[in-house]
Amino acid sequence: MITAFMVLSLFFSITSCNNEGVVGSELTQGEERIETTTYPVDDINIVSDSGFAGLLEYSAIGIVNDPVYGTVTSSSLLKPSITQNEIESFADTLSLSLVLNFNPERYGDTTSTSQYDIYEINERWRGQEIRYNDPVTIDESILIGSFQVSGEDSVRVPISSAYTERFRQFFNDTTALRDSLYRFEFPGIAIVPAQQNNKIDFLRYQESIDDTSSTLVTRFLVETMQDSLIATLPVQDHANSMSRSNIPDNSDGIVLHNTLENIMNVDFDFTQEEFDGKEVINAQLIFNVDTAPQTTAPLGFKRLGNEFLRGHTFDTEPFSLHSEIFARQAVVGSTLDDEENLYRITVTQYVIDRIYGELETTPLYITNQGNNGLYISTKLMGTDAAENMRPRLIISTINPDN
Amino acid sequence: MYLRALSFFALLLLLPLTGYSQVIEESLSRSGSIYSGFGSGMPVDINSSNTNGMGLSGVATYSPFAPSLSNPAQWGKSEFSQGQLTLGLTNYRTSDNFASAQNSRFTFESFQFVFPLLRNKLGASISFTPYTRADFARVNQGVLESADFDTPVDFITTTVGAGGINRFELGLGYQLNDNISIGYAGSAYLSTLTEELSTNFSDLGFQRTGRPSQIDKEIKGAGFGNRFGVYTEADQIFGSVDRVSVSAAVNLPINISTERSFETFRVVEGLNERVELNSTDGTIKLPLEFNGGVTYYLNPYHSFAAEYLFQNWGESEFSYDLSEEGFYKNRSKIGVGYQYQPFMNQQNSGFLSNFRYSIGATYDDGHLTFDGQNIETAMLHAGLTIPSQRNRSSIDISFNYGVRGTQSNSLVKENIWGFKLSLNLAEFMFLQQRFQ
Repeated sequence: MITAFMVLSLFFSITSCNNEGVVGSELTQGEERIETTTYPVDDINIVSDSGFAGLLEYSAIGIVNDPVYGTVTSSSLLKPSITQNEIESFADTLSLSLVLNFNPERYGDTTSTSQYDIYEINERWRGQEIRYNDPVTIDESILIGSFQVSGEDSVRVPISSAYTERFRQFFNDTTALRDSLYRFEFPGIAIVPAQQNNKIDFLRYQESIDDTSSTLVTRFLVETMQDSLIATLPVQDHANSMSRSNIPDNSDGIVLHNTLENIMNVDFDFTQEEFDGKEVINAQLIFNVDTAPQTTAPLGFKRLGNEFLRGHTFDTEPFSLHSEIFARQAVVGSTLDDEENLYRITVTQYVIDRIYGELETTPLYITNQGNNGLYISTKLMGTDAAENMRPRLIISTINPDN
Repeated sequence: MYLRALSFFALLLLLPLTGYSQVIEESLSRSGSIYSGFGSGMPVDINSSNTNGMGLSGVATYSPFAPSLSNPAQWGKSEFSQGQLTLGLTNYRTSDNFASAQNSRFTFESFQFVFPLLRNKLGASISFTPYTRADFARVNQGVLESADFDTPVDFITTTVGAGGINRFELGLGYQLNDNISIGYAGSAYLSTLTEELSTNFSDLGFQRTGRPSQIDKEIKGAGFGNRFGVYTEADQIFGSVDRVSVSAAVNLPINISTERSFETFRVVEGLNERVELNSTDGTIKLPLEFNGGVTYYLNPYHSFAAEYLFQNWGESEFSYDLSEEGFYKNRSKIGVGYQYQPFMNQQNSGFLSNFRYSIGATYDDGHLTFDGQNIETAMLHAGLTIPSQRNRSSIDISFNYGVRGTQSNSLVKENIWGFKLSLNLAEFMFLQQRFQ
């Protein structure tokens, strides 16, 4: 007996697993277990809304007559800070000037020179509530300043002595109501484009710092009469007063604006039976970019390129769609494949939830880029495009029965 | 006596360890025949422990030292209560035109207990044996291509199969007279065939939560079978001490009603839950089996055996995969063997005279055919029996080496060697020895 078990133990010790490749791969075919099926996506709607236009990274000024996306008119609204970090009082001998720092990318005829005038805003400041296509009224009777921009990185604009004097009074106010009075009573300024402009410049408001340099942002300077710098006042609040008009017919495609004026609503209609016995392993929502707007643009006319799409879902239909999209993290997204000119949005989990879940989730809301103050639009191929260019859903499944 | 009892219980205790060894090995690699991945698995040769050394079932070879698994008629000849437990170790070296692999498998082969109800007249048997065994690892690789994919997605699917169809059998054997015995056994066939399908993709976007997709497949079911046996023997055929036995057993077709399910883990609405992809009912039909043989005993020390096994797999069913069912073909297996039992001669005194020696050869034309190419198995067998000097207990050790399949036609050739150890205990729970 002992001998027998010793023999058995010996056999155990001399045996091992040793695989030198895949044996029998030609004997059994399993490739067909993985299937990829293309589903057309027809249930697409455009929801019109308007995103917030205040306190973004950029603020747009200018007019552009875009043959695809319409005429965009945008004024920048801003208000200097009365912080006393650098100076405690604003002396009579000091002057105020505005330094505008521009994003290097412009929208429109980049070869043109733009003329801008600065006026007072003619209504109570509501910077944080301003949305696109919700312009504020401007008092154009009193000019505060004016300047021209071609392709400069920054422009310094002296502010009128009248406006500076009003600002001085609020700055030097020592009462307890100083801050609240300034917030509500002091009018901000609006940088308004002249009608002949055909370009939009973007003021930079968010500082970016890397290892070697820091990018300056739009700010106010307090100077002596001899232009000696006394203090720098940041912009306390800023916003865009923007409107879009003369919008061409784009029904042959899907137009999205990062201002959330157009939000794509995509719905799928699946039944569990379609996927009976299968396991969904990947689902990609494909949108091809309509390149016609790019190829038909006039010479020198440039648009800011769209680089990604994002998708949001909600447990219930949101009361304020733009607010929810602005405030919430996207659940899916895709960067542009600039070789294929298409977006692949991986929506695997969303599709699984739609197929197998019990909750009534909302359709997928897809927006482009991010609402950061730049004006970025994109046109995607619509449901009537050629079959290989239409919006489509590619679902890969494992069918273990094969 | 006590030593034998302890040995028997030690073996029983080893049973969970054999299962444990299988679990360990599953995580490394499946190690049975790749051909066991078709249909309900590879049919298992149900040999009596005393004829394992010849590679024969022992349908016509009766031994008072070990119970018969192959022929119910032999149970009626039982004189003492007998129990048998067989464990095995099989090594496969598989190769095709592109690769090779080597794996080993430690298996529980069979368990049987036979006890006489009327000594030398009526005996009963209870046994547990595997009927088919699925024990394989398959790897398929491919490329998922779509004009809309960024790049083609490579994938590798590993299918690890386990389980099989096991037979739990109860039966009676009756010795009509000194020359003829008959037997019958009813059995329950329990199917538990499992597969783990794990798929890895080169694009992690195809692997939810970063882990490969895993789908568990299980075919469970039960059916009932009937087996009949007849054992005939006559002596003084060609001389004064010779003896011949001609016997046969028939196993009727078995229909197993089964349910196949696919399950996986899936995250739905934030909850990770185990879900059933689908579940279908089906049928596994096992074939009619005829097993016949003749054993000629030249004298008490020398015996020759020849057997023929036929299973009509061509009529079998595996309703879940008709393409795999299409690979079935009728199976024939022939074998011859020789046993030398010097220990029966009380006058032999050398050490080597304490054993029984067996050799044999078998040829099996297989139950599968691929494009007209049968999966044949040819094997050589050898065995050594260590009988007890004081009673009818014994230990059987057997070895086998052979080749299955071919590398031609994109098939797989398997070089197989195996080792089996059987412990046969007789009369250990009876009082007879106490009176001796």
